[in-house]
Amino acid sequence: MKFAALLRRARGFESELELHRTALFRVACAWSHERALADDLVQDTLLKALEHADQLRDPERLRSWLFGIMANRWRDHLRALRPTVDIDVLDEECFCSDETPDVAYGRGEIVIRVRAAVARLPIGQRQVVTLVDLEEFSYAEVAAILGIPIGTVMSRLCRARLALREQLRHTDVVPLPRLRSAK
Amino acid sequence: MKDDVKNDLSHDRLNALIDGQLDYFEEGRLLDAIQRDPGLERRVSELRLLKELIRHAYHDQLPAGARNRGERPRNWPLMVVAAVVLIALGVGAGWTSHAWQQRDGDTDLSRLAHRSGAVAQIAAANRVVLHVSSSAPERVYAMLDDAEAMLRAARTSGQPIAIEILANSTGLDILRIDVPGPSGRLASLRAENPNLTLVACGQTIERLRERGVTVHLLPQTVVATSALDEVVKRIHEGWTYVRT
Repeated sequence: MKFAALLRRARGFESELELHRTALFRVACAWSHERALADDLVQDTLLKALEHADQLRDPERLRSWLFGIMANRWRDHLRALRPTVDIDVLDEECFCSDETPDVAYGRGEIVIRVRAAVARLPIGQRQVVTLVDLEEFSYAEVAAILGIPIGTVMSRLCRARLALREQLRHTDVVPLPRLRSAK
Repeated sequence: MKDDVKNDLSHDRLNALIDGQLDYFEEGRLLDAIQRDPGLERRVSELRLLKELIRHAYHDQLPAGARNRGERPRNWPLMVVAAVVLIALGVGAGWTSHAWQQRDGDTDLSRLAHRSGAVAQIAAANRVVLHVSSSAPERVYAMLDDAEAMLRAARTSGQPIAIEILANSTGLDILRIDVPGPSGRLASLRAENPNLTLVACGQTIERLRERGVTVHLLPQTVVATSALDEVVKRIHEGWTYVRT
């Protein structure tokens, strides 16, 4: 590709990159539930993106490319924490917060209760549900970002939402009796 | 629970419905079914509410210093343009490798040039940030070898060069005198080369402080706000960035 074309392409990215920084941070917070760790994760992701900018062939895929980098950095982080545990086991079972929504309920904030419920999800489910709900990625995009089959995306999403529903129902965050029909 | 979910296809379909993943016809069929079934209708409502709750729970999570949408970002374009320059230069990096080898038959430099044409190109740029974010010995010592080789070659040839070693995350260990590592070698290198600057990521130091760790850095180490800020600043100033 000609240098001038690359430059034009780079200039076209500028506003998007800044917006993605916020989106990456939001999802990093939802994955880690620790602002400091999210800060580091996003910084690491953007530096990695800078280093490998030449690998992004299709500017349309910038968003999912960045989230894919962040997912890999997150996995590296988890591996570093638990080097002897299979990463797939981490996805399915580990790194859940010990804080229950009931504990968070004591602090009275719906936001805190929802975050506590999300934090209790296994990390694999947490990643899928936040990518779908916060960033509105399609299932196919989530599969590509996380490097898992679409079927796994769907099953993790399903289990995540069932678990969230149960946890939040106990604390009355999901007010089932008062719900109106949504068509 | 896993098997239950696998066997209950309606969960997947309802999720797909609220996530906009169904095609027009399938969505129509499912909506018809929902209208006829109050139980399904309630489940869809629950799912939609959950989705909204999650969005609401995180919508105000903003990174420090995040700007409003309408404000034009100042630093990112420079980073991207600089990266593009590196990519463009990297295409023709072979001549630089050749030049380095001719100038100095040093095996380190030959290895450096062969390992990465971009790094060899960067060495000719005279102002280089070497960023290390890992304490993995192979990365750390490769970076130190490269820095030494560039400094030595520049000294031999009389070509001015400024090198900044920037460390964050676990890579910060190389600048710490309170943990085992190559800080002694770095201290010697710094003493012999006033054109070598050591920079630590303030964000990493703050994280460690929050965990109760007091960081003791090599003398003359500069603390930047964050590694990312430092990289942006240096690129803005025309430095060449290399992540090791």
